[in-house]
Amino acid sequence: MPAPLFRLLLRLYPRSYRRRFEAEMLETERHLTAESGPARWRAVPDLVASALAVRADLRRERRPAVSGVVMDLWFAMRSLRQVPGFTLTAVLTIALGIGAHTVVYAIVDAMLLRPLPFGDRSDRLVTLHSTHATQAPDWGNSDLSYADLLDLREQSRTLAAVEGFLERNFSVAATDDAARVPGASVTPGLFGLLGVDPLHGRMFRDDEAAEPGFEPVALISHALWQRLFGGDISIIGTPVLLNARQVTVIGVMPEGFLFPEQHQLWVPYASDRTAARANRAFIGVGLLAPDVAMGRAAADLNRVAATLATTYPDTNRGWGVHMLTLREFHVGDTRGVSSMLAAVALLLLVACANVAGLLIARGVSRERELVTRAALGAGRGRLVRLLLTEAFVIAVIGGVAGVVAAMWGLAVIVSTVSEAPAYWFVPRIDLRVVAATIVVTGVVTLLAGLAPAWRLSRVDVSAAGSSTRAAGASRGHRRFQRTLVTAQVAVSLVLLVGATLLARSAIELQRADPGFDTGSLLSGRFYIAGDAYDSPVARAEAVTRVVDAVMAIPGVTSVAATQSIPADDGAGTLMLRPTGALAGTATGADGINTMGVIAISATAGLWDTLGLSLREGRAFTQAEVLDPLTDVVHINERLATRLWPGESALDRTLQVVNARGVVTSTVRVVGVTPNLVYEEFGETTAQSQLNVYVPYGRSGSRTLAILARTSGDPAMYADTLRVAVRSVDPSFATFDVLTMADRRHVTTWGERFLAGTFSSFAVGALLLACLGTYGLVAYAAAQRRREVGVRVAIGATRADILALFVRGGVTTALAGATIGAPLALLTARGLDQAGLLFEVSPWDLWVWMPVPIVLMAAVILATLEPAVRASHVDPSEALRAQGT
Amino acid sequence: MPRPDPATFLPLKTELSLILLSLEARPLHGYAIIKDVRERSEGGIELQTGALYRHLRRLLDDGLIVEVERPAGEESADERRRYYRVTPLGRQVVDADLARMSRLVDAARMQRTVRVKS
Repeated sequence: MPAPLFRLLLRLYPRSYRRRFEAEMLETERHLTAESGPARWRAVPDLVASALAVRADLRRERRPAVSGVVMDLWFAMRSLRQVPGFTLTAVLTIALGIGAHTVVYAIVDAMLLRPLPFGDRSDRLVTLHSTHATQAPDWGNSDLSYADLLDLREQSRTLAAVEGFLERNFSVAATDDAARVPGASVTPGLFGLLGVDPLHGRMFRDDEAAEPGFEPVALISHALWQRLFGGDISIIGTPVLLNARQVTVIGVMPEGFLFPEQHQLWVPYASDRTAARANRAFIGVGLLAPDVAMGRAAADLNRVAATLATTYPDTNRGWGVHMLTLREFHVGDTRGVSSMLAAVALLLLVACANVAGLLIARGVSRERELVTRAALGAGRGRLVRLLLTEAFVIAVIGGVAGVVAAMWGLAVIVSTVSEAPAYWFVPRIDLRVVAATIVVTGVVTLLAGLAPAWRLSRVDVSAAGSSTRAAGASRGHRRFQRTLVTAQVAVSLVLLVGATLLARSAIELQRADPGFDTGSLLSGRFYIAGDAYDSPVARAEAVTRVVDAVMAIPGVTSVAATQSIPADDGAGTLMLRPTGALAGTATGADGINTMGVIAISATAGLWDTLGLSLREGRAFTQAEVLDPLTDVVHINERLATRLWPGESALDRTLQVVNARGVVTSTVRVVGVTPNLVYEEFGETTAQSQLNVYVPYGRSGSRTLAILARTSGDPAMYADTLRVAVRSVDPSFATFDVLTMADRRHVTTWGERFLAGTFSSFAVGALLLACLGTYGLVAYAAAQRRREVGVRVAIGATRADILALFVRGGVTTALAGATIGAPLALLTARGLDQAGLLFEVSPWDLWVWMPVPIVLMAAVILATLEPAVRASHVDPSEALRAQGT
Repeated sequence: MPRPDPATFLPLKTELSLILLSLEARPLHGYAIIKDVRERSEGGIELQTGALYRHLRRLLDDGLIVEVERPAGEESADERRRYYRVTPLGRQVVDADLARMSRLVDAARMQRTVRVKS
């Protein structure tokens, strides 16, 4: 090339490079030109390309050296891109496992792990309750009396502070319409104990505390402030109508704060401590002194309770104090969520086993590559790292996809929650959850990648390419793969059995007979607010007017007001002693011949409205419903049989006994009712099944449910029901209006959710197990192509070959089912013992018959396609393929 | 500075192997390297100036070759002419690369033999 042109092109090089080599390059080029003439055009592209390459070289060298790990990652991604089908399957499998795990973990985190929003006090907050020696063991915690609360505050040595609250409902008349707001009466220091200050305005003062109904001031939640008062700051200091009385709003709590659960309005509470020691209606909130353990505090509280029992034997004998952490108080039952966590762990294991199987199958197909790498000097550690990196890349991509899917899944779940949880329970996928997911992704990498990497890296360079060795190795791999599939089938069986049991239980729960026709029944609740209804007679008259107003709605055929909605609510306990019957009915642990039953007040129309007739006797009269001193009661059939087996209960008398064991009144049975269910299905207790009904006037409770039997769809009457109730008094806000069918749906949400989650995990595991079986058979078929060729050549029919491979798949599945069956039995028993099964035996034949059949059918189906393909092998082709 | 591991340079590009082999025998200058490689590859590899110096720069910077004094007896045709030879590290790299290729050939040969047998 002419020197001037060469010089010109040399300008393409970096200057430092030119300084170093320009003279030499000119000299060399001069020789080459001398050798072959000036028309050396091929030197032009060479020089240009080299200039660019040199620049690239220098740039690369300036960058810090790429570490081996980065190289491995890059290599793993490149090699995964070459097998998109494999990669997609593995990634989706992992995404399924990690996604499901992330959703469940987010729920567990929100429920059990994330600190409560009370700063450094979160771990020291406890709730205080009372227990009584005679309480049925399955009866929950009782509340404390206000007087006991004050004594605990003064006498405890382990609690830095004791406050308390009492849940209430308020009607707030902000506009023309009354809105019903759940709230609480709180001791003035409660929010100070929690360490939460108002956002606007001020806290309660001690001198503002008053008996319910006489509070001068109130605090409201941020949400309520926005909803009812449009966020208007001038509301502070302004009186509003609260339960028909003027109350001044003194402050707005910070955004997001609700207490104890979704409660939004608070009034200060105080009372005369001597008056109310037997009236246990308070939940205490305590702050443990620094460095005091729960055990020590519990011992301390028992000491105080013992002192109180001695000092006030009339009201406190037999009563103890029970303490829960604030989280235990809110969360209570963790059986559902822990069984979900176990289920999702199983699903994740199946996913890992599946990907391990895929990696093995893929590893075998690239055995040549691995042998070559080993021959070129890669040690075993290097190969393990290479293979593990692939598993890691799959796990990371799967993890990211899983987290994205989990965000979506969690949003769907949260939107279906029908019972409002504590306000701080907000499951979300935040850094905490993602951190856990990262750990899980690491575990997944090891679980799915380590065994395959270890097996595949065992290549023998000296025997490289030997087909006999390869056959031996692949037999070993196949055995390993079969083990993985066996495990997957076993775990799938466990999940399927668990899911089917829970689904059956949820269906039973939904189908459970409440004892009455729920079809055309509308239910709602209202609250009798205001000073005008302080007398029980006034309340009874108001309730009668409400019943009449609803009855006047065209299409309503029957109406009743009652304290408790069957199949949803519980009710208060009443201690009864049958007059004159001394033997055989003792239930009290202290030998007193009394029994605890739950008492429900109702108006006359209850049984007509439920569409039921009394077993014996007559309905309440209107006069009885209005009379606070009436002595008539109904008892349910179960109680009647228990008290007077084989005899009529009519006109028998029962003594009502107070906490001191003193008879306060005598009641007369005028009717025996059919058995209904109080408390939600699946939550009934021995006590909740024994019921006494009293005419409404005798209890006079301010919160009531209204039941209306309608002609046609009850949902159509929801609005007219609200209007009718309010027509009696504008401050009567109707809330929780639902058809009975919808109410059943709401109360069984938790069970349906658990069953739904389990089922989706089980279906996921089953699909993966089928995929694993498919892979196993397909791989075996590919490996044994030659053998099949030989068999066909010596006379095997297609059916023989088909049977050969199907048998392989079925044997594996049978082995899995055999291992899985005892594990599934244990799981079934565990679910039963955890009380998660309603009316379904853990040995239910309707579970144990179909589930294994479905499992086997699915697995056989999965073997069919590859087996059929194998049976279509052309022997001459198969023999030739590997024969050369 | 730690001694670099010869294995980190593997596998060598064919051109680099041939350049190193040329410089192993005796010190050479640029044009002489081109001629030597041409001979060794029986005309198969015809290095051009740009590519040659790109390779030389890398080998120099990696410490596989060094510049040396003009060997005694070489006539000085041009003052700009510079001579290079292989370093001990360069020699190790060549050896390792040859061993690698030999194992590869063995592996390939073994496979072929066994296949024919079966």
